[in-house]
Amino acid sequence: MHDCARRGIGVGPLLAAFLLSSYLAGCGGPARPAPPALVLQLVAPERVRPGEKVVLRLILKNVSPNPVEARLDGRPTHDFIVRRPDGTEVWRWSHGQAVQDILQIRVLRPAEELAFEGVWPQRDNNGRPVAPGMYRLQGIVRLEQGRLASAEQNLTILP
Amino acid sequence: MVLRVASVAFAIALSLFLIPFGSTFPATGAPAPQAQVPDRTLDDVFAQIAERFPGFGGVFADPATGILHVYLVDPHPRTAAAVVAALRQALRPGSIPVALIQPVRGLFTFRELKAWHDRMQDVLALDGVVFTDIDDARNRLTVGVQDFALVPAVEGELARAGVPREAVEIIETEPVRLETSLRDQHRPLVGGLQISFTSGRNVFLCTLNIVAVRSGANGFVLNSHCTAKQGGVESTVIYQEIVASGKEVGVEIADPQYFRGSPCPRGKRCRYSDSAFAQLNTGIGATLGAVAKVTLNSTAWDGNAAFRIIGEADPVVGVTVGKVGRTTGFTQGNVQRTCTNYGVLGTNIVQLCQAQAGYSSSGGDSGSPVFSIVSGDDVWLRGIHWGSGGVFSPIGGVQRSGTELGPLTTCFDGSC
Repeated sequence: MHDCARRGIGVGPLLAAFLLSSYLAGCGGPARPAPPALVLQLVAPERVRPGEKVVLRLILKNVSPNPVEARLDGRPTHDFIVRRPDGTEVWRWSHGQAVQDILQIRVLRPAEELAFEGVWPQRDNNGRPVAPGMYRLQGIVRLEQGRLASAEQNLTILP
Repeated sequence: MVLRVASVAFAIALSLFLIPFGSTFPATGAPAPQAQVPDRTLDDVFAQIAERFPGFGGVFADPATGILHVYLVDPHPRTAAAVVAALRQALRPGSIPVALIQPVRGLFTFRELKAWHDRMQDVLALDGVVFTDIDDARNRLTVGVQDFALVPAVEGELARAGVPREAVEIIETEPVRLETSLRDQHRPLVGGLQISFTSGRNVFLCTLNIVAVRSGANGFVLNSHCTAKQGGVESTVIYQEIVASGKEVGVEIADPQYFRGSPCPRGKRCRYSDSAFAQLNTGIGATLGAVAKVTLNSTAWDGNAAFRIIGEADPVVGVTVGKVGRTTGFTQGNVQRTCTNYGVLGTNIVQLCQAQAGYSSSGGDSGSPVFSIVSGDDVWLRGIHWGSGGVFSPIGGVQRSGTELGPLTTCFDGSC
């Protein structure tokens, strides 16, 4: 449901003045550096037991000294992806579900954070339990002009 | 008229010296030092040159020949070259093309033209006058009017200003319009325009579905999730285009609650459409059965062109549908699924019996009218867009009685 072609790069005139943090991922070419106004951080455990629900938390923070207008694309605006070490996608929170096509404008004060949460039930996109081993986690926030992605984080499902 | 307008526009473009040239003129081809001219108009610079060369009447480049023509009351090649050299020093580098220079006899000096143009400024105060100009390509003043019927009024104003009639050419031209889009303020309201509302500290943007009549109330359809609370009436104030005083256009009056129990899956809340209805505020104009007509993949809209709803139809797999939304504009695709139950990510909501098509959409397109073109601008309304991947509620679901909005009048002539 969230391919790059669908989202495009519709530049919001106000938000365009502020961009962004980490990097803008996918959707139209290589990642590109951006000024650090908004940063996205994924908080997740490093190790879990088999079958244990993995609580994922995504924090979008304004690290600039000025208010920043974030144009959040869709509701929910965030997503989580689990991949194997070779990059193969195992699970995506939004898989098979619809996102409401609303656009939210939120002004973040300096140091203000927005938090988004999700749970990975240790299953793949087809609902099958995944095997123990190493996985890579990533969080995404969709903005009007593109996607903001967190750094990937390793997760080990213990044997 | 078209040709005349084109020639004037061409001349104006030439006067700005933006056309590159391949010809060279050895005597004046050397690059000039950069000048600082931040606070002067091009006419000011020409006037300054005219102070040094009183017979100077303007300059223009001929794209067909590459020749730079310099109007002089007393044409002389050396004076023409000196004028061009002075212009190069006064303007930004590259403004004056490197080209052969041709002196041309002019009837009026630029100082005269500039003085007359300054005096005739009130001509633009006449309704229907589009522009006034010192036409560098014609060594004349030009007045553009929407209709030649305005000529007497213009001539009267010229006479009052003491501008000789023979120095002025009056042409017919189209008015200049600012380019507007679905995201700008438009009245009367039509489907496809940006609407907005607030919830807490947040502002949300969506798209107006269609102007309609429900139980005798004039209003418009929008997504239920484009109100302060999805399901249930909380009298959300709807704005067009942005949330600001004076831009209120309606108030939510219908938004059925999501229900539980069969056929809704256990633990979920369901409806057959993501729809709500807002009643129009007094004095807000709205056009029944009209959807903003924009070109494919565009949001630019002139405020007039419209698709006309002549009927309603259910979505059928394989049928081409389009939607018009404030973010991605007019996009099209084929219906791929019908009567499909969709879970809404991050909620316990299930939308029953929805349709999905291959058109593109993005955040802000929620509420877009989904329709099929029947002939020309006539369309059949098929639903209301709400979800990523081209998911929409069929118009039949929107008008179910009981759990949804019930019967609506949506066609332009009130026939459906």
